[in-house]
Amino acid sequence: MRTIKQVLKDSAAERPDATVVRHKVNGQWVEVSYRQLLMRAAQVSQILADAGIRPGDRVALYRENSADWIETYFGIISIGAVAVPIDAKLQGQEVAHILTDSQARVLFSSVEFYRVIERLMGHQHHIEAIVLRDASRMQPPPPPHLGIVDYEELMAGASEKVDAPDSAFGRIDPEEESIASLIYTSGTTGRPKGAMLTHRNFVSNAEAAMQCVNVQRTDNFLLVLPLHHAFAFTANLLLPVAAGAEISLIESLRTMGENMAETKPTVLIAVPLLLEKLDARIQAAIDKSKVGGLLVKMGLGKIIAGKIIAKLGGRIRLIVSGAAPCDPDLLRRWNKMGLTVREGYGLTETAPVLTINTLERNKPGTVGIAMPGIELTIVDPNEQGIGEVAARGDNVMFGYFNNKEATDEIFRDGALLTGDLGFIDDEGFLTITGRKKNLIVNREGKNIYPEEVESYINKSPYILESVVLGYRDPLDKAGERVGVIAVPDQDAISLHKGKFYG
Amino acid sequence: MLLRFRIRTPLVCTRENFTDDQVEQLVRSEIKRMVKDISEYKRPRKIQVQFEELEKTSTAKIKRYRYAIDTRQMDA
Repeated sequence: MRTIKQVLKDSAAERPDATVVRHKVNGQWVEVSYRQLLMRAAQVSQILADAGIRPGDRVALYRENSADWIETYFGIISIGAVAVPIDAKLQGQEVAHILTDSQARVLFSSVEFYRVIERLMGHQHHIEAIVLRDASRMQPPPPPHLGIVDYEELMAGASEKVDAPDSAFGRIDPEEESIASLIYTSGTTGRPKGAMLTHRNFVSNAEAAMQCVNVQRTDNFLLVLPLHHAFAFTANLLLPVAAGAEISLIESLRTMGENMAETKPTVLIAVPLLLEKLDARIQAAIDKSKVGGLLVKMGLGKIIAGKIIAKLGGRIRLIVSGAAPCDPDLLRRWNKMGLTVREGYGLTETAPVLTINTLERNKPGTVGIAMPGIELTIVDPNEQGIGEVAARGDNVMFGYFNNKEATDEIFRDGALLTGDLGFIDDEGFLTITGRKKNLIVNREGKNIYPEEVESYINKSPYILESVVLGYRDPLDKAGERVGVIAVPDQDAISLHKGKFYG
Repeated sequence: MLLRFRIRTPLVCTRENFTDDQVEQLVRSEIKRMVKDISEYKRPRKIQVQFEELEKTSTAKIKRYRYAIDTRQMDA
């Protein structure tokens, strides 16, 4: 199997002048070719090697999606160092925990994060150098003791060295088993742990995904989700790079529609929340037009879909949803309109995709079939066949960094326990019924899946969201009862106010 | 085409805006309406109404561990 570095090198050798990244700079779209990305990555590798970074050392990457993020990542992993991507939305304590726990030696970021970084340096850390985009433009300049250096200045300094035969990029290579990313995941359960994901984990996952959704070099992937997240990283960066395809970065969520019209993407990697927002816009457009509503009722939704697809840039051929369960009604409705939407399932710890509804085999409501090379089992199934989903495969992580206890807990007989409950039908499709930790067992020993109850409650237009939880009644000896915390949708309530009057 | 009129059951409200109590009442009755068709043992016994959005992770999943049902509250 190839390393992530080899994947980039192969695509760059095959189509050096093809565009890999398209991003907006000062209101203008700028295209980066495979050759340029490889060169920039080599410069980052050189900077790090010159700073004494050795294979296995951790380098933190704390900023929003950008062309910089991508070249910096490839530069870090190309000399066998470990990238620690940090969610740009995290603040103070959370970032401090990740920097301390990972013992990162270098931090890449941009001046927008200076205030947070400045405060972080008051905590315990191992950071020796902070590389910021636009640091040289800071007024007043940052205090010297923080060790802040300007990104472009360093890149310029490294640009001549990368052509030399003994350049870091040419001299040092990562192994398949080298750790590429340390991704901190708290999920929904508290203190973040660093999942150690190797080159083999990611590349095997991207290659399996390529077989399932048939990615072509003519594809253009719209990048909306944050790259620190394993789903966006594998599906929205590594997969298109492996295929020699393009990636177009949106400027912001607000400009997404505009950016789609400008860049004409063919593939959208999404989370359900994003699809729900798009769906609400589509529904509003259909409701507004009397003809539109009528066409949908007559089963001629495809005519509407043509207009929607035109609004999405006109070339969209595939939408993949992951990271959280998507409403099957939405999936069915979109597929009926002629949009190809496929849902998948996975975990950070599995780099991340485990199952997907493929182009040919699709069953909305399930999360699809196991990808090639991935073996799924259901541990301790009940009489309905529901049990904990466990996974084996080249994509399964090495373990949690410096956390043997959590690592031992998540593996059983070499298989990774996902913590999700589900069942596999006769055709091999996996259905997730809920999280094991969330399961409520009542006094009669009956199982209640909070996610199922929530899905009913959330159908009310006046309820924004809810969380169903088990609780112990002080008078009960055993078992839990069902309770709910619900949040009203105040906008919907005030909008419909008139309708409540008698 | 057959014309049909939809008749809504009016919820009596005398003020221009809903008070928190009225919203809470609406949410409670909505929850009971929504879970009518699921098995009795799955229906929530306690309903708490909260006006702030639930805390989420960066991928918009609810941080469930932050929440617990207040057992001192009356049953639904």
